[in-house]
Amino acid sequence: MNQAFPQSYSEEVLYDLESERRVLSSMLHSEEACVEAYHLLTALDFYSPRHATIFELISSLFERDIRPTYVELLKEGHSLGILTNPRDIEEIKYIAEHYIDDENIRYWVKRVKDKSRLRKFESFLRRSTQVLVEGKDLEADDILMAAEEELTNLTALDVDDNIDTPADVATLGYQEVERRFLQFKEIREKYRGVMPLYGLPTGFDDLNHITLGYKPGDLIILGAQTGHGKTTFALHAARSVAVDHNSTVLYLNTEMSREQIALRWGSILSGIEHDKIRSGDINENELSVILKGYSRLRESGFYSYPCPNLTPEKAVSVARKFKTQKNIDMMIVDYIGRMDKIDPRLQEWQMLEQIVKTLKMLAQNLKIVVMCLVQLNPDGTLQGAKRMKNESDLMLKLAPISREELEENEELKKYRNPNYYLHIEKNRDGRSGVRIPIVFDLQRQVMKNAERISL
Amino acid sequence: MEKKKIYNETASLITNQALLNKLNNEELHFLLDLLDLVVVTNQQRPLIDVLHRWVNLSLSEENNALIKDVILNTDVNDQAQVDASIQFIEELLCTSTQVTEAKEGSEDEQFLDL
Repeated sequence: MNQAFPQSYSEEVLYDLESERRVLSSMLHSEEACVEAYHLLTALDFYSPRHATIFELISSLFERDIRPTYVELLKEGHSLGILTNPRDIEEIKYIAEHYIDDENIRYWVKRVKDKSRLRKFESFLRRSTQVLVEGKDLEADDILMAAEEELTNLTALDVDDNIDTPADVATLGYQEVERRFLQFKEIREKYRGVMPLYGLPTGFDDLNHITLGYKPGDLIILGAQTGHGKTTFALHAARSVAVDHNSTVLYLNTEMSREQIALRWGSILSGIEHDKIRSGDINENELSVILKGYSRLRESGFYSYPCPNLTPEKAVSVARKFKTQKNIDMMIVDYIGRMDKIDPRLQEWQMLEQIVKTLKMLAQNLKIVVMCLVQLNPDGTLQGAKRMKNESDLMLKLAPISREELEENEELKKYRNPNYYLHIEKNRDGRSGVRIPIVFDLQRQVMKNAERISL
Repeated sequence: MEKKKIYNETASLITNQALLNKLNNEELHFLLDLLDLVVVTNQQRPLIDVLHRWVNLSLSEENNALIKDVILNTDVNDQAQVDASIQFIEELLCTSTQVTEAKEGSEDEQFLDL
């Protein structure tokens, strides 16, 4: 055998330059395509080194929130000293000019990815052949085991499916316990027993205490009936995270306009009644208080995306974009009943289940908190609640306290003016089945823990 | 379609000049930004107009260098900077034109004397 590895197959099995160009061209023309390709491919997936370079240039612009146009690519490439040959420019021009919008970016991305995996496989075969040709005294078991491991890695899906060994689990477990032990000790000595948060502040002291904050990867579901504070709760959480804590929140709203959302913040940050602000019936002193409130919002990490025709795909795409460009810590979807259906044949509860599953995966993949708001039925129930509960890490319900209960429940009399319950239906990391009495001031758009009356 | 082709061709031409070291990085960036202003965004019309007037006049090397220095240091996305640069260039163009006219005038008088 003269040739260690016969090259009888067509080389085109291993690459597809047309697909590579299509992906790059789509990235230059469509933001959604850019988000998709950025998250699914790396420069190493491109066969052509020139295409790999163009991909890196586009990605670098995208990360800095610069729209990757032909001219921006030229500027970036020249500044970095990457464009050295007129043929580089010709290639980029060709790609920029030959865009075909077939709305099928996923197909082309998959083509590029598949060819990349086949090249890795071919390289594996070459190396294995080389081992056989050169290694006379190697153990068959060693060769096969090494080959099997490599092949398994090649066939594994691209999801982050690391398998922890027993040692990994033990190390991780001990580190977690040790961290908590030291933290608890510190709290006892330094903070006099008040637990600091692991995650983002919820905006409610009691909820912070029970959950230790909203944690990255968590899916939080909040259910309430129409007109019973879903948006106020969402913006209260956003205020706590983005304004008071200075973390970054992306707020997706499916039913309110930009102006309505902006006006709500006027009440939230000034404490002045929403009706007064909406009608303009305010005095100069109040105007200055409101202005002060908006200056806090200006400095905050609150990003708003009003989107009446929000689909789960769009939510994923927007979250990925903002994670890359603004490093968001939390995304709030207000609310999922208003999202467009994935498949018109699905029942309402099936659709909600699909959306919730998608959002849970998104939270885990991007390591962000995702909060979604759902509408309860008039009787306080939720269609598909059991399935939703399974997916969520924290499930909350917001419901008014009835007049009878306020009069009869002795426990409630220990609080100052409670009018709503925040019910913890599920809490993966702690106590559930707890009802927290809160004060919900619809006019001032304020929610807070009901204060305990000291006896 | 034709407009896009011209835009792409011009961008390539400018970048190729940079590859041939006929333009430095600052000059390349300015010209590409200017191309965007003219073809894509159609903004900063007064700046484009004043640049038009400049290229149609033959100024001294010293004045040309001054204007070039000003525009290369102008961020076209900063309106205050753009306004200041336009004012500076207009004043310089105005002064230069007056000087040239005065010169031509005095030469005419000499002809009359003869």
